[in-house]
Amino acid sequence: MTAFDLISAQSRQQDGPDVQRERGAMPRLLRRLPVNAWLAALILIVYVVVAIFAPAISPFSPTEIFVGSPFQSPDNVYWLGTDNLGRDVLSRVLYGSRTILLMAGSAAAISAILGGLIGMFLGYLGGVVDEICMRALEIIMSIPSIIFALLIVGIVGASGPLVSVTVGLLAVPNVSRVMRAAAQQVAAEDFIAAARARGETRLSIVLREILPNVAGTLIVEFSIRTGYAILFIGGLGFLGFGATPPTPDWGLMVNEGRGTIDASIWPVAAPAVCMAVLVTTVNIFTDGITRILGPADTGRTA
Amino acid sequence: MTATDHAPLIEIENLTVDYRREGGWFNVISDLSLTIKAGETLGLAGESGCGKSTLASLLLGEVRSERRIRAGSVRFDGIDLFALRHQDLQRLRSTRLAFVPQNGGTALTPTSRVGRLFMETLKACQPGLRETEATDRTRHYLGLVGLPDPAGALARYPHQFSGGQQQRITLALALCREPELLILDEPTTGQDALTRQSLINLLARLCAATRTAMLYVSHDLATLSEISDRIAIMYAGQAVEVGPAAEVLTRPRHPYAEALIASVPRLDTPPDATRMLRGQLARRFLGDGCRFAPRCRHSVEDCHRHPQTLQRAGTDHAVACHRSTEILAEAPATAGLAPLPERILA
Amino acid sequence: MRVDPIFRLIVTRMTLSFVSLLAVSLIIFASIALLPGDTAERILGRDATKQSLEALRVQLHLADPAPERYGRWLSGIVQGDFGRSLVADRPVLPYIENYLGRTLVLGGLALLVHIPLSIGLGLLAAAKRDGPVDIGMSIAVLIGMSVPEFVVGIFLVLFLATDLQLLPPLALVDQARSIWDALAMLALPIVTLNFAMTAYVVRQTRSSMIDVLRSDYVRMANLRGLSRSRVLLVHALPNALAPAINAIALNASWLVGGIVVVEVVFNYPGLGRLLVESIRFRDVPMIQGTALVLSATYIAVNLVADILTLLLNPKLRTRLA
Repeated sequence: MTAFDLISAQSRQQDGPDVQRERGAMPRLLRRLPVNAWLAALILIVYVVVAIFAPAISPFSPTEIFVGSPFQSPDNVYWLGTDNLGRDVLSRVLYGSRTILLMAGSAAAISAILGGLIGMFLGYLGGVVDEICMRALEIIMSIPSIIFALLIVGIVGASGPLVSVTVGLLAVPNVSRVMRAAAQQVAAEDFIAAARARGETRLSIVLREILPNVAGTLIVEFSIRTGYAILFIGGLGFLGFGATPPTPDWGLMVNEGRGTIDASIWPVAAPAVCMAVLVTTVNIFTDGITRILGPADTGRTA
Repeated sequence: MTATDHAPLIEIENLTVDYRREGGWFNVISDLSLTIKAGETLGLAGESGCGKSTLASLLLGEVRSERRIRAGSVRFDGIDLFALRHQDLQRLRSTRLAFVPQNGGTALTPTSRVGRLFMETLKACQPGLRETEATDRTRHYLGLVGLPDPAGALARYPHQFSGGQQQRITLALALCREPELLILDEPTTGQDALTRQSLINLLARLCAATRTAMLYVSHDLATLSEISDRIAIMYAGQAVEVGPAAEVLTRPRHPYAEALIASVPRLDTPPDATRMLRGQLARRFLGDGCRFAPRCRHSVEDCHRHPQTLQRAGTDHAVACHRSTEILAEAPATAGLAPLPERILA
Repeated sequence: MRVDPIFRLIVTRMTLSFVSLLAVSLIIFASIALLPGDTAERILGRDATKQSLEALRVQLHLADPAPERYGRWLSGIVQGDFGRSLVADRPVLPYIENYLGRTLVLGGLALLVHIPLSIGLGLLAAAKRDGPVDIGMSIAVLIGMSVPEFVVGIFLVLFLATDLQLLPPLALVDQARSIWDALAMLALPIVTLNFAMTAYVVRQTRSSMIDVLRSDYVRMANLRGLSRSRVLLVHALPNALAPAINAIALNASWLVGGIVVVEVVFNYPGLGRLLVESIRFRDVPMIQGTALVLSATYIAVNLVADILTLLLNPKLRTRLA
């Protein structure tokens, strides 16, 4: 083997920094996640852990009134002070994390699963079905989400599951659109035609051939929707259409506390800051994973 | 204000250029010296990655933050391009220098109509030019490059033309200011043979008529053979052979040039595998000696230890190989390209 | 007769919008009328007396089948009769007219500030790329996108109105004594709205400007010897702005929804706040009217945005020619 053979073989390996999309690419991809996304993920895990163990960590019950006198400033007993009804703000904030994470998480999951399925099928099937469904989705998208959510939740009555399902369903058209575009790109590939020639059923093609290739986009969408859902549900809670009181709801806590904000800032500041930090970390995390999992950049000429 | 006939229009002296990449500065051009005389066409050939596009960019005085000139100079008519103020550089670019990129389509601003692109170019070249004159000139050049309906083209947007037409428009934009130096970076890649031929004929005619110098960068030796007066062959950032086109193409003296020419597909003789290029350039593994040595079929022990520089090997002919005379002696009569076709003149 | 294709496209879009509006009216009506449980009971609450329930049923024609009620409601709307408010016992339409006007003023002013502000900041960030200004702005953008607007509003009120007493905390514009007074009241709501909207556009403008500055055509414009200002203004900017305008259009439609929360925070007598209150009081005719008008505004804003995007993009414009 001459020197140049060695060189030519090695040069082929070194060619190009592109990550090949193959099995086992995931660990390599994860290594390229930027530092701030790792930090964000860490903080998110903290939130989830707190939410899960809220009953164990909270010093007081979140709904028990007058555990202390109202509007107490933070001290050794009440780390975040008390609100207008003498409830411990810290406990309410800790329990509130369960409410928001559960609701936003399930809403985002509904959007992602339904939107993903619809989008993938429409992207793959194309044709008349695609046209009709897209028109229908466009019509659904012409209603401003807040108004529709207010209508449903306001008329039927606020409840956690209802809010989650409504918020989740309202985002389905958006997710479908994105997933449809992603699926269309994959559907044009040769291996899909090969699968069709093999006689695979449509369901099987979508789930086994298309889904793995658009999974990255779906994960990114789920992350985006989680961020939006938190803001949306927080807003609904603020307007009084969130979880039913006395369940602690961060948005509602902000609304309840703002009238008496000069008496004590903590009943408003604590949930507000927690919500802001949560959404911020979700956004940072979304940015990070978009960079590695997101839809491919349209090629730019050198 | 044209160059005198004696001093070269372009003088590149001992140019060394690095690119910044993760981990530091990587060398892309080293100790390159080249000249182009007024009115002459220099063909610049080499594989991808040899630095020829970088050279073209440098000849326009382009500054890039990821690139630095470590040593050497680039002079146009005696003017150091990188010592100019922005205004003066722009004046040079609007009047005496012109560039034709590889992708004509992306070089045209999507939100500008074709007529406006020409108007602003011509006005920058000749500020006193009247609009009617500018329009006439625009139509003239659009017709010259073979665009159907030049008058109608003025009002259209770039995306309304086909890829080939976009390339012609970009060419016309370069030609319309009648520059002294035309730099073309693979302007005919991806086009069919007929289009390519007609464009090359056009270029050869124009440059002969207006005494425009040309730097034609291409990896396609067949094209270069038709329009170059001289040819420079680059490898891994160095010039390895420079000389009159006829000589370099028919009797190459550098092993790389020989291999490159042998790799050109021909209809009259079967390919000779022993002389063709082998392997691939891998800059990371280059040692101190001759850069081509790892792939060179004439290489000896010494080649790997001593770097080669351009040495005179005949009138106006330079080669960077200490074994060039032996290689020349070995070469069979059919080594080079067939005798060049008649140069296309007006 | 050759109809101008752009005209044809606009008419098509308008028709689609109208169909959407019709569909939306159906959805609004259905979501109230078809929800499980007794409508009258839901409005008056469980403790309502039998007589009041009956009276309400008669008033709202609840005995009639739903499609008939829908048809009656719709035909009323077309003739300008939006029904009577159950709470105020007055026609709904005048309320909507007044409140809609005020919402449009607030939204319009917010957009007026938003457009130059966000594009300017985006271009600045692109120009000072990777410098402290750019990094500072990207942090501000992140915060702007992440903090809920009601939180922003409340804290702005806290610092600027209550602590520093620079601006009024509530936007009770009907009590304004002069136009300057009214504008002062609108200042904080406008800032609050912009906090959320600006972030998105700044990001978009910055990244598209950076892309455009690296493009082949900007490079060529430079290599043709054109002046810096010409390259920036004629070749870079128009191409960089296209995605930014798209983002602004999206913001405009977000605004119709987001303004609801801001109106509540600042007690601004706009259509959003009216909707929220009418839902709280179960004032069905008012709810339906308000929701319909807000949705119509949303659809109209989207239509205008669509058409503008079309007209501003030479590729789309000429594809029809």
